[in-house]
Amino acid sequence: MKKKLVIVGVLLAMFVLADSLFHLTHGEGWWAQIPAFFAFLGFVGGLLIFFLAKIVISALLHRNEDYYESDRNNQ
Amino acid sequence: MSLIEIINSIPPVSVFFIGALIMLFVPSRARAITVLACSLLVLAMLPFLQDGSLVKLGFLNFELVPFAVDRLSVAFAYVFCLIAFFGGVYAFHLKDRGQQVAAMIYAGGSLGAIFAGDLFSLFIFWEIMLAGSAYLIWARKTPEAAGAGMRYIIVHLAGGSFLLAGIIWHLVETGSLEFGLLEGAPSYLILIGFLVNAAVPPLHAWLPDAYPQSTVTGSVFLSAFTTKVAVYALIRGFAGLEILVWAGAIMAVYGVTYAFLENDIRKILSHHIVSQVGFMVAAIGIGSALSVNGAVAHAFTNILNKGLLFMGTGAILYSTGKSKLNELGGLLKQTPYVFAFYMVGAVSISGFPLFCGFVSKGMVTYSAETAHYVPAFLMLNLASVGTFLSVGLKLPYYTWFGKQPQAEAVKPVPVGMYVGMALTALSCVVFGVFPGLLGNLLPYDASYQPYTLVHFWETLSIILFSGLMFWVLIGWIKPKPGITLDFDWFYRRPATLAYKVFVRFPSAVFTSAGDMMGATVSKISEIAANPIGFGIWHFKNIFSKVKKEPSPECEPSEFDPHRYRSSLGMMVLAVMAGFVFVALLTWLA
Amino acid sequence: MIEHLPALIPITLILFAFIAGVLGVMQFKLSRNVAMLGALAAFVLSVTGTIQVLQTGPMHYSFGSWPPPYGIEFVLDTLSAFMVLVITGIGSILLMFPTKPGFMIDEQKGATVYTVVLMLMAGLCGMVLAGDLFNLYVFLEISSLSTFALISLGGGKAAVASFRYLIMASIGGCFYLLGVGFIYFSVGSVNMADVLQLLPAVYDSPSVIGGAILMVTGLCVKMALFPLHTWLPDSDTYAPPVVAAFSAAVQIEVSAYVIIRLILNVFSPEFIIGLTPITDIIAWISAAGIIIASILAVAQQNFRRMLAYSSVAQIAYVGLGIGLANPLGIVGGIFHIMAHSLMKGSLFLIAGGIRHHTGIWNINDFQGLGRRMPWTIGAFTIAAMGMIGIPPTAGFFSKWYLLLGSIEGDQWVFVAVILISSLLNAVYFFRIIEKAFSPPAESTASVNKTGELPKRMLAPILILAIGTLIVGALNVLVVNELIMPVVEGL
Repeated sequence: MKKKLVIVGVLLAMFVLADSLFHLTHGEGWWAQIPAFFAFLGFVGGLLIFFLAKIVISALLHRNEDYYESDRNNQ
Repeated sequence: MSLIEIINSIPPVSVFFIGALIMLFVPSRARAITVLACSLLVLAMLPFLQDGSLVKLGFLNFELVPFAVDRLSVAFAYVFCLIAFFGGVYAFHLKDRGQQVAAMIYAGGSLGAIFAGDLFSLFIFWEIMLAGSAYLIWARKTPEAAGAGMRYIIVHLAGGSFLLAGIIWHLVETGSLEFGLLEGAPSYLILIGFLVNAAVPPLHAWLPDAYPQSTVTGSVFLSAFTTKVAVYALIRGFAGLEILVWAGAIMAVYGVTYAFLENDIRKILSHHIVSQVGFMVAAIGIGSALSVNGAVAHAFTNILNKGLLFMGTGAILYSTGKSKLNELGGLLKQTPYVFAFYMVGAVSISGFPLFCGFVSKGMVTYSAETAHYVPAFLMLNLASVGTFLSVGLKLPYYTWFGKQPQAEAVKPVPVGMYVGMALTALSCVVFGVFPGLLGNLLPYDASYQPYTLVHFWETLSIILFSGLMFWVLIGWIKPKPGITLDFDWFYRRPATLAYKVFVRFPSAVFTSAGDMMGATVSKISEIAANPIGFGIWHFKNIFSKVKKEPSPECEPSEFDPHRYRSSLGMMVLAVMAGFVFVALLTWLA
Repeated sequence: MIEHLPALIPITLILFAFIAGVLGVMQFKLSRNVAMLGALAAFVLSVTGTIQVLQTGPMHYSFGSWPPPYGIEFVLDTLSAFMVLVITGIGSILLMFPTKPGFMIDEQKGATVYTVVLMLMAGLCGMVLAGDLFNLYVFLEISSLSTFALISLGGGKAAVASFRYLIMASIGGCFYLLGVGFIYFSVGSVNMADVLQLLPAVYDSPSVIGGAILMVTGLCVKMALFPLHTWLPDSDTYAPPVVAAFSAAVQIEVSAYVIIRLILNVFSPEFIIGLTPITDIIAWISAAGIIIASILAVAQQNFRRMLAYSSVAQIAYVGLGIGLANPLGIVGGIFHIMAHSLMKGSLFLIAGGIRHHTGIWNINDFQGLGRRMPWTIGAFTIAAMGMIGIPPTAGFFSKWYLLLGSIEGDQWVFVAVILISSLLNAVYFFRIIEKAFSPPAESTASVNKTGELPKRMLAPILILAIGTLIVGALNVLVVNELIMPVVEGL
């Protein structure tokens, strides 16, 4: 796990460097000022989705597969 | 009339309906060929359609326009014919007449809807589409499919009711049935009708409920038509409505979040449809020429991408009989080609360069960026992250890799399915490598250059780092059996309760009222058999009743016709007496 | 010849009734064929009459050349032509259904059945064509009497149902007759055109208003309008299938027609709509009836009973059209008469056919029927789509007119009622379709042997089902030519 994170960190650093040097991120918003913004978006966004999905929604709304079975039998 | 004029006066929908009619009577091989023939025929007709051609029909005091041509309609028509053709090849092995006819009616109805020039015709085709698609869900013949099909019909009929009410109200207010940008109070009802079919939350739950329950081949058609016809309708009627931007952005993230969670592979794809339609809806809301072009383009590429994905997962369902992630795994060796084709769809929908998704997604996000909708822009990109994670990584990983190779034998996939997948995959690549082909079909003039260094860099960054995130967290991202509750809870859980309250209860009330009446009537007839006797018995026993002693049984009386008869003599006497009385009165007065 | 047409239609039916009766005693099969011939002849006459009316306008026919108001007059205008087409057309198709399952009798014993059926049709045609109020009552009673006899053919429970119907129909007829009496005493004539002219002078008198209310109430009983509908479920459940089809699909509609005729041509619209609350009451009662009857239909387990409650709901649509009292609403109501008779006719025949062929009576036993009887279930699906109101069936167009009428009258509650009832219809009809299309359960394996219904049963079912599609497609023609001219006055 730690090894993977190190690799990610290195790649991220490379992307930031490349972006700053070659001015690859264009655009007008506040987000365009951050070098390698989309790389961060990819990684952090993924974390966000994971969090939202697994931790928030799934915790509250996850149910058994036959959750609706009993209803069908009544009808 | 010249050939071109003839072509311009035949609505494509009629080709499909005639095909469906033929298919009722011909054997299975011929049926499969009819599907292909009809879609190719219409595809061939499309380049000859001229903007502004109309077919009119008089109805009551209105002039209906069931067939009107413009570039927007033609763009959708192209991709509808393509997917009908590819789907037809995919379903070539099918012997189920009902499904094939239903698919033709469904596809034909969709073509009719996008070419409808007025609201009434749109509504007619909307409902015809419902009939065809509902059959494709029921055709799977499982109890779950039966229930899901019922719910699908009820939700869509309800949405259709809103649509009809809105159309009629609009008609009464404005006096016209023209289908253009709609405003005013009636348009909100129409909007609701459109939003139901477009699966915009909270009206979307029917889609992940019904689509996974449909047949292997049916889901390819289902994914292509209903939602995209709704997108077309939204473009024509509500382009530039700002709330759609927010609705679309939220939809996009909502869809991928659920897609990330689900266990059934086709349910994952269904939730993902919601997400992808979110891109289209947001683009419609932005309302610029570029964004609407982007919506059309994204609908176009999405039909192909999603179709391919459903083809792939359908093949897995066909050959293994399973569709749950926690039961699948290690299928790479047995179904390598399915994997390859699936991945083409997956990377295309995730927006890899050289595939068609790259072009259309870029258009949508770029138009959001240039219109300065920053939150929407960010949310749409977030949705792209989620897309790659759920559809591009999690689904294929746990389907084809992961566990030990399956010990059970796997049914071979028919050749038709492979050819269908191959053709669709080819089209995904072709439109990706030659974006101009797609660009020429788009309705509005707004140029967009997808292959720029900036776009390439952004896409690369997103994809690489979301992939890295998956790789890092892979231990935590495991498939878990079960379902995640969605908005359909609101009409499914209370359904039994509602049934008891609204159906059983009034029925019980009416039945008991009927019983009460029956009891009253029999009591009355009992008394009437011997009224005087009954009265005397009551009078005699009044004291015993007061003292609460048991009184002797009332003499069971049967109706005796002679009991109260008076003799003839008595009657004559009474008449004479009455006559004398009246005569006396008159004489005295 | 042509000028005798209004009289010829019921007379043909009566004539053939007697011929069928006489022949039936000798050879039963003959009586059936004669009856079908008679119904068909009447239908041909109706079509001729319709064409004539479209070309030259309404036809008045005085019996024995006694001029009205002394003589009996028959009137054939576009509305009565429309109704006669429905009665004779649906009647001929229903008579195509084979006798034993259709009327639940053994052929040898049932020599006079076809006589009674043709008298029923004659009575209904007479009601539609009658030009004066009392004659209408006479034909109303003729049709009721025939129906009593026919319903009781169904055996045990049907006899009780027939008795209930007898009581209710007599009450309805009596109210109507009482109302006619009041009108006669106020105006001095029972001829419809006469009354129309003479009535305005005495509009305010309580006897006229009372007479109108009595007549309409009596007709509402015969129309099975909620809450006066209680006789219909029993008679429709236990009566023989063809009789139930006549009763639910044709007879109650004719009673609704009479109300419409009263509003348009006897008491003028100004009176009924302006001076009495009759149409408002009918509208609200119908709206309640639509919803409640649909809910009760959902609760039923017996297929025929469900269809009976569905009929109550559907006739309430006609009532709603009447109650809306604007041109589009009444057009919708009238068009629904034709649409409903086609759809319900085929549904009752389907019920009868399935019951006779497989013994199935309850909805739960419909499982898997779709595979064994594809054509039957196909016809059922078309009829169900019409009941729900899915285009391009005729049922959709009647709903469309009713919705237009409701919105024009600013009656949003009724709009909601119509739309909600479509959903309820969908629930109880699609429930059956879903069961029919699902795989057969193992427990009903014993019934699996039977296949599709025989062609003689299928033919009328399919004709009626396809009829809903055709009438739907031609609805513009029907509405513009036949119905609009009558409603123009509003």
